Amino acid sequence: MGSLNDTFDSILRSVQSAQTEKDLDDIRVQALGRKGTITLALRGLKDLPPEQRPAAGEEINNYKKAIETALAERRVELETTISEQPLGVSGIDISLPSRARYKGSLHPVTQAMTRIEDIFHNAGYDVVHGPEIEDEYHNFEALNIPAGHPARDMHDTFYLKDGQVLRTHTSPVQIRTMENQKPPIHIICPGRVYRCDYDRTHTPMFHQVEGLVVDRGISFAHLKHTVIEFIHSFFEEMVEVRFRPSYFPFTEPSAEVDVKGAEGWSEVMGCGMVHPRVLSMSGVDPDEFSGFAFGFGADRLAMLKFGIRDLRIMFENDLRFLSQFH
Amino acid sequence: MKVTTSWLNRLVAYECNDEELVNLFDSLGLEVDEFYRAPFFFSDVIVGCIEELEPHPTRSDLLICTVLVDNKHDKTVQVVCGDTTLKVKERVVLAHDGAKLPDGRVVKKSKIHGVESEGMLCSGKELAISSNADTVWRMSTDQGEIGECPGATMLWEDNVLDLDLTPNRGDCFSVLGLARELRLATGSEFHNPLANATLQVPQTCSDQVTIDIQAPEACPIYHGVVVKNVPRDGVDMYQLRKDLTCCGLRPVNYVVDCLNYELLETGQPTHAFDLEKVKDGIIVRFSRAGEKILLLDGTDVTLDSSTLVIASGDKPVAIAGVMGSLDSAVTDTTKDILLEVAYFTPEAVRGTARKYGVQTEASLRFERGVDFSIQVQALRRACQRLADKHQSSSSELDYTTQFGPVVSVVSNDCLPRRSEIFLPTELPQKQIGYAIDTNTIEQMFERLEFGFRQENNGWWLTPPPHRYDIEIPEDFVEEICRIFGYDNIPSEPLRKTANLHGQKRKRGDARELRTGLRVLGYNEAMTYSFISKDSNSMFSDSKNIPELVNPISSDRSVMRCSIIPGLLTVASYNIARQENTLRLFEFGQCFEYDKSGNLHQRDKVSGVLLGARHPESWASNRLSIDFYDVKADIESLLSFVNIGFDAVECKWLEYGHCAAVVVKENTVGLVGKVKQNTARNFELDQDVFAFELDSTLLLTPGYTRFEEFSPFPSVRRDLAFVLDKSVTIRDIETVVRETLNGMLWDFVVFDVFGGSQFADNQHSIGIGITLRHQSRTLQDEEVNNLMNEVVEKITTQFRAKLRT
Repeated sequence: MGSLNDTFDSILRSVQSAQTEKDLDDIRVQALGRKGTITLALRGLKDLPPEQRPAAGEEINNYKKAIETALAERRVELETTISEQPLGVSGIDISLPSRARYKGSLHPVTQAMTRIEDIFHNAGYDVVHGPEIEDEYHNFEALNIPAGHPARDMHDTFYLKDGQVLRTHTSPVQIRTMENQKPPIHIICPGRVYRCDYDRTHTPMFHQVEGLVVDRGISFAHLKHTVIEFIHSFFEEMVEVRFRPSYFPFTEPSAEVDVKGAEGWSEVMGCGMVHPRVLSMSGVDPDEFSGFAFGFGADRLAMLKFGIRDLRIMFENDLRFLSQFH
Repeated sequence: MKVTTSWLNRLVAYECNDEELVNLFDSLGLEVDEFYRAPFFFSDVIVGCIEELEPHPTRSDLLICTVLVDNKHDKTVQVVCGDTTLKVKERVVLAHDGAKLPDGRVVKKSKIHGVESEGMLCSGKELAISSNADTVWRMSTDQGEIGECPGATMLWEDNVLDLDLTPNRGDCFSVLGLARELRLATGSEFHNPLANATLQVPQTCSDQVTIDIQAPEACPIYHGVVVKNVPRDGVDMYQLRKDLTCCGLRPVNYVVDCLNYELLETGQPTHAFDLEKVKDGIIVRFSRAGEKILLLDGTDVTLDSSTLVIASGDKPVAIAGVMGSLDSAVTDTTKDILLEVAYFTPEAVRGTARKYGVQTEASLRFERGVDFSIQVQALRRACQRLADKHQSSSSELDYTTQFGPVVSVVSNDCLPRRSEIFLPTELPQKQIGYAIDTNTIEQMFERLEFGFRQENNGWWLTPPPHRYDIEIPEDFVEEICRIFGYDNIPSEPLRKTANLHGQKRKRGDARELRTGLRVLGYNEAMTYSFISKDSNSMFSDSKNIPELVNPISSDRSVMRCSIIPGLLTVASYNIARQENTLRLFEFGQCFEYDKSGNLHQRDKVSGVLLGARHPESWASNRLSIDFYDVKADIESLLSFVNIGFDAVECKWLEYGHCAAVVVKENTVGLVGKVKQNTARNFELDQDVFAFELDSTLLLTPGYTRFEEFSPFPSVRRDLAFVLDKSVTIRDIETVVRETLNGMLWDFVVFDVFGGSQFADNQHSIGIGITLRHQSRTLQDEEVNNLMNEVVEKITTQFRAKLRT
């Protein structure tokens, strides 16, 4: 058995000095494979006298177990060693650029609108859309802005040759909703609106979101809470908010809402209690129900949120702008 | 509306600093747009003293003046001046090289007929304090030190509040109105300039003109008085003119400046006619269509039949409440005038200024509503001011000025009504959501000058004649809120439970499409919904396109019928900025009339692609986008619904490279290669692919229903045919599908190629067919039989050859 012991020792030594996975595999085949030293020795047991067989068998099996353990341990050692080697020696260059795809983007106004819709949707408001070409009744008269009213000057309106107008706000959607739905109403109306105006903070097309709540016992205090909560939620910050008296023909009392930023107060929305005349024109009894409405430019909120200083860049569609908003 | 703090202070003794004042106005709903120090129009203008005067070597109408500008250091500058009446030791106002004058002019050092002039001596007109442009403005010795800015002593120093007033607050378009509001907020002592009851117009001559009001419903009050021998200019006009200038009005001449001052202070517009031009009497009537008037700003106007005018004889001399005619205007030399103080109703003036494109200080106030109780007093004040050329507001009148008898036509029954409005006690609390004590509320009514009387459960309230915005009980609630302070109203959560039924979920909504396209590598653009007529007509018949009456520019004059022209413009914009691959999309409404003239407004989602299929990389070739890339994007985007592609013709997509996207036999959109000449119109020379989908047709309700799938193994067989190129894959797939009778699990085309080994019009296609039976394992033999049947049908129906 002396020679088997030597063989065993030499196998163990070669396991210790093995450098690769393949070396270990070769050793395993030499020792434990079908024609391996240990396997042959086990087969040779049957040539021994029966009384020696148990002892010899136990010894060979011990060798076998020891070799298996050594192989497994060395394999772990090797794996650990490999990961300590410099990159690239045995793997691929993972810094090589991928088989890249084009990266798309969503317009900042879309992103702001999505956020706004989510906030109100979570609060139980329905999101309602309407036509951008409106009749004068829904854009003006139904909102208590009769023809010749000075408030029409506040809306530099685009007129169509067929006598209709490009809506100057999304309020007509509120009117259409009140005409078709009994209170309680909790809606927001997002969409494009149009006014003839063009400078750093005005484009002839922009996006508005207006909200309307009509129910029993709705008060200005409810409006304040809703507006403040929304602003805090949108900016994800407890920004300071103030309300100033203002004028809109469709609300009474009316307010303008300012938010305090690094550069002082900036106006973000208009709001107020729905004018009783507006309610009754749309078939809602103002003695039974009251409501509040608010409206703001989504572009303006997007500008504040994304740090955009010139509104016009929003609609220039320069890829260097668009592609920043993944 | 601009107002100076000093003018406000003359009417109301408020005590607060500038910042508090701004906040106060803001909190009253009178938004302060800007607050600035007044002498904004001056820089580098100082008081100087004439040391020496020499005649100009070549010009007798010029003097060379040596002006002392620094007493201590004896510093002088040399200026050439055209006022030959100058005398040594006179004090003048010198504008240095680079000085900015009120009219925006910048003074430059120059050579005047060969003589160096280092600055300019200012006339009264250049300083905006007099209408005199011929002579240099002289300062008295008590008006500022030599070398100093004349601002302080000339009362230029002031603060200006520029208020952005809402159209309901016509009453605040005057210093008086703003002072009232300040009193309201602060309770400070208030002096109403109209309250002087002792003021009278002394009748000193008998001249008068007849006044005939033919439209009393539009002009319920008209006072006219002849004023003769009006002073040519006042003696000491600079405070008045500084106030005017600070408030945004240019000094014009003595009469106009005096009347503008009254307008700003009280809010009552007045007008002066050259007496000579209205001798035939005044008629207030509506215009006759086609009548013409040349307005004093030079606008030539042809009147319609509904414009209120002031006429004399047969000729309109003014558009009532808006502007007078050039012909009847008062000039520097006019001696005799007719002074008009009238009340025109808002309805009569509203829209007129806009209609003729002439907005004036008068129209601004009349259309918002002027206090109809102040005309008599305003007339007296105007006369007093005209006669008082010292502007001393004292009784020391210039009695060379003569006044005729005041001719008044008043139709009381045509004046606006101020009827009592009932405010129930509980309404304020209901509306505000907070209870304000009734005593406090009544104090507010008093300060607001509301007439009120209490009844058991509320108040009967009458708004004053200067308020036009109080019509319903809620208007009183707003006043209460305003004075109480919006920020003092507590906020209260809305008791609302979410609608758990919510809105029904739809697949293919805007959000899903947008997100899908973003993931597919598209950048979202947003273009204007109005585009040029030309580009729109490439996409639709021009008579179907809604057109704007007042477009922002001629290349944005119609509403888009398609988003594609907008995106092509964006593509070309970015190509010009060195981009070479673009995938753009936009979501939005498009507009078109149908054959019967009904307007359709539909949401569309559109994309434009050009350039490389993949970003440049070691791993891919630089292949250009083709039809099958766009087709893949559409399939991926619309994976929630079964879609097909039908070959169609289209106005803007190339024939044979264009498909209709079909859902349940309805066309939902188009996809294909943009026609070359269409692309060229947008300065795009490369191949451009595009799609446009009607997103309203893509909305698919609800969710997919689960179907049991076959647990049995599938069998795949591949076949290759040589056949005519005109045979479409759809033809072949249809045969396969029909033959396999429900057992077709998957159909792929793994190979398409042509080449010299085939006839010109033929190519080889390889198809892979995967079969699976719903309820059992398929046997080899039956698959073989089915495949033979498929081969048989394809070879005979399409004259194809099976490749082996």
